[in-house]
Amino acid sequence: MSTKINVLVVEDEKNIGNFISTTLKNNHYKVIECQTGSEALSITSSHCPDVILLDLGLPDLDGLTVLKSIRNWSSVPIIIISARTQEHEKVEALDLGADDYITKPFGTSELLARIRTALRHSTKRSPNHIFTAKGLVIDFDGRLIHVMDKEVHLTQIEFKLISLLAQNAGKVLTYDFMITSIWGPYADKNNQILRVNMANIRRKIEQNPGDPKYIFTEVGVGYRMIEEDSSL
Amino acid sequence: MQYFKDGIKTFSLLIVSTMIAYIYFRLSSHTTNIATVYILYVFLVARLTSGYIWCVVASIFGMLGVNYLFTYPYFEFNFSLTGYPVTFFGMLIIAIITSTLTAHTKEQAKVKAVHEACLKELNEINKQLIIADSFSQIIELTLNYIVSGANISCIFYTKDPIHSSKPFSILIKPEDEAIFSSEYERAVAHLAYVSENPIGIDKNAPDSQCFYLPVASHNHIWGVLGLLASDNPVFIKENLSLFTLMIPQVALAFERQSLLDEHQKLAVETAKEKMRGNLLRAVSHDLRTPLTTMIGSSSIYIENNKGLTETEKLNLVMRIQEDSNWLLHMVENLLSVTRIVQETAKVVKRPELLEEVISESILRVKKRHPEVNVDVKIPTEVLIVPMDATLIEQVLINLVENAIHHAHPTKPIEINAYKEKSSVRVDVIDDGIGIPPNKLNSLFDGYCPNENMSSDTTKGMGIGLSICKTIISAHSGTITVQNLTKGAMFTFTLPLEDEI
Repeated sequence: MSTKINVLVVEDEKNIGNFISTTLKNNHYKVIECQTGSEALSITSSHCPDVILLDLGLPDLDGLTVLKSIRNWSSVPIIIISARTQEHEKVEALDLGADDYITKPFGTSELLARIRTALRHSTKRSPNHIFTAKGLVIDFDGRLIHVMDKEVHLTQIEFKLISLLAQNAGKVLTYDFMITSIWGPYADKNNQILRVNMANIRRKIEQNPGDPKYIFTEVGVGYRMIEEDSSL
Repeated sequence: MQYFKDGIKTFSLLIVSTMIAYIYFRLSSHTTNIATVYILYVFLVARLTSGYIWCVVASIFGMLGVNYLFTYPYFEFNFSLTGYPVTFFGMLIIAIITSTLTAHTKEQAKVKAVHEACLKELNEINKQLIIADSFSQIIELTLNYIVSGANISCIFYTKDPIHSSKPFSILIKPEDEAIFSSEYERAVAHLAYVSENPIGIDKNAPDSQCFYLPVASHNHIWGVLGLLASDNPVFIKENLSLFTLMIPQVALAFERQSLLDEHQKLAVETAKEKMRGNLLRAVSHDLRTPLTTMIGSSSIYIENNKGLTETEKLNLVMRIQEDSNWLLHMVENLLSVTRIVQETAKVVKRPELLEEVISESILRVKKRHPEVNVDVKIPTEVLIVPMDATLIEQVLINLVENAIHHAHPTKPIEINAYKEKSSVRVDVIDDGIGIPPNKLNSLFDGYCPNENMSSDTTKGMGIGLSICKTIISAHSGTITVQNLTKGAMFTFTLPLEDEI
């Protein structure tokens, strides 16, 4: 059996911390718990956890400050735990380098899935490969896209967008991040054009654009592509 | 110009009357009535020209004319005629008196006309003041009235002029702004505000360039009207009485407006209070039931731990989970309402893709009810609608979950979106049991007073639907419900253009 994966849980609410560590321990993770931001910083430097679950509302430091100072020297995957209504906080956290976020309240399966995704992203994959998920096949080199073995024609921009999402599959990409990646840093931050392009992609690759299978919207935050089939 | 015209009139009248006199003289060779013709001539000149000069000129002409044309020797002046000086002076005096009289009459007619015009205007402004429906409109009317009448810059302070930072003003010349805002003028205006007495250029403040009139009624001062008098000092003097007539009307309009505003505020407050009361009642009703289950089940679990079978334990925990999920749903609903701005009952809108909002809400419903099937039909056209996405999502979740819990549908729930003229319409359709007709009207009002329903009152959608209504109203949209032949259809609309 391989060495256990180290998870640092930063959560000041005892009951939630308890629930998270019980879940993780039952799924063979090693858990370190702490309640404050300063503790989190010192444990991160001393124990080098493999993934960090970070609550934004901490008693001593602002969660975003903790995130920033960890990102100064470490690229360890960080998953934000946040309340539902604060979209701007999520966007800010993602733009500051958080890998993902999970919204309270969440179930155990959701939590475990997010941790798995974050861990997978920390091990970089080779750029030349073919993305496959539930019948969607993206060939990055050949610039080809097939849905259920049927070829789909996308415009230049649309292909760039879907590649960007696929390369970060499972991860939420914020509107600003996507606009900067595709249109450059000086592009208009009005995300209308991005939205329209995404809507067009959906109309081309989804059977029912109103009930999508491949690209999900995180309203007010950004987009998330479905995880790759694990067989690859 | 006027002078010129009067001269022409005088001369042409001279020629006409001389001709008449000449014809009369040739026909009758009498000279007695010649003077009468010329007196008539002088009188006509006085009536038709302004001032005394032409009148006097006419009387001299008339006299000379008589002397030159109609007395012996003809076509020659002879000033030694007996009685001539008497005729001369007689005519001169007649001329002066006549012209004074007519000038006076004309003057009076003019003053009267001006007054009448003023009264008419006063009447007009009164009429407009009555229909004005805001303080700023009243002020604007007053200022416009003064500017149109006097063409002078004016200003209106609604608060003490010393502190007031943004008074209303209409400026004829841009540099007048500096005069009004100078410290001295403000101090004078302040004095008028405090003392509630008119003060200014000719009254107690000789150095001031303005005239300030306080607008007050029933011991309440509504503001100070300032007129820049240095450009047109005569106007202020002449129209002071008119202003004193107008100011009380303005004050009255203010008073009426303030009463109206207060009344309206009270009405809004009452409606809010009623809504809050309804919500609170619905909340306590809807929250207490699941909490009871949770507390009861967990107590049994802890107290009788040993005596329970595994299945019984699992059942208890499952019930706790189910009800806590329901509680979460409630809390999210209640939280969503806090996003609506309290004062205006409006939301912060951003352009969103409708289909994304629909798909995410279905995703969230499926998290809680994985077995649910929803059919979505969206137009091929990309619909971007200004909205608060989190709130509209909540509406969709509420409507879909409502259908799941209450309608007991057999076929998938349908969500159809359409574009209409200036709005989008979203239908949520189920083929379930439909809405009891007696509840159709009060469905969105929140708390239902007649609780004679079956067991699923626990999960009554009382709060949910009233929150849908609150959210959609805050978006300036509409929400309705109707029974189909089988099932029910909830429809809401959202305006496509953001209202200003």
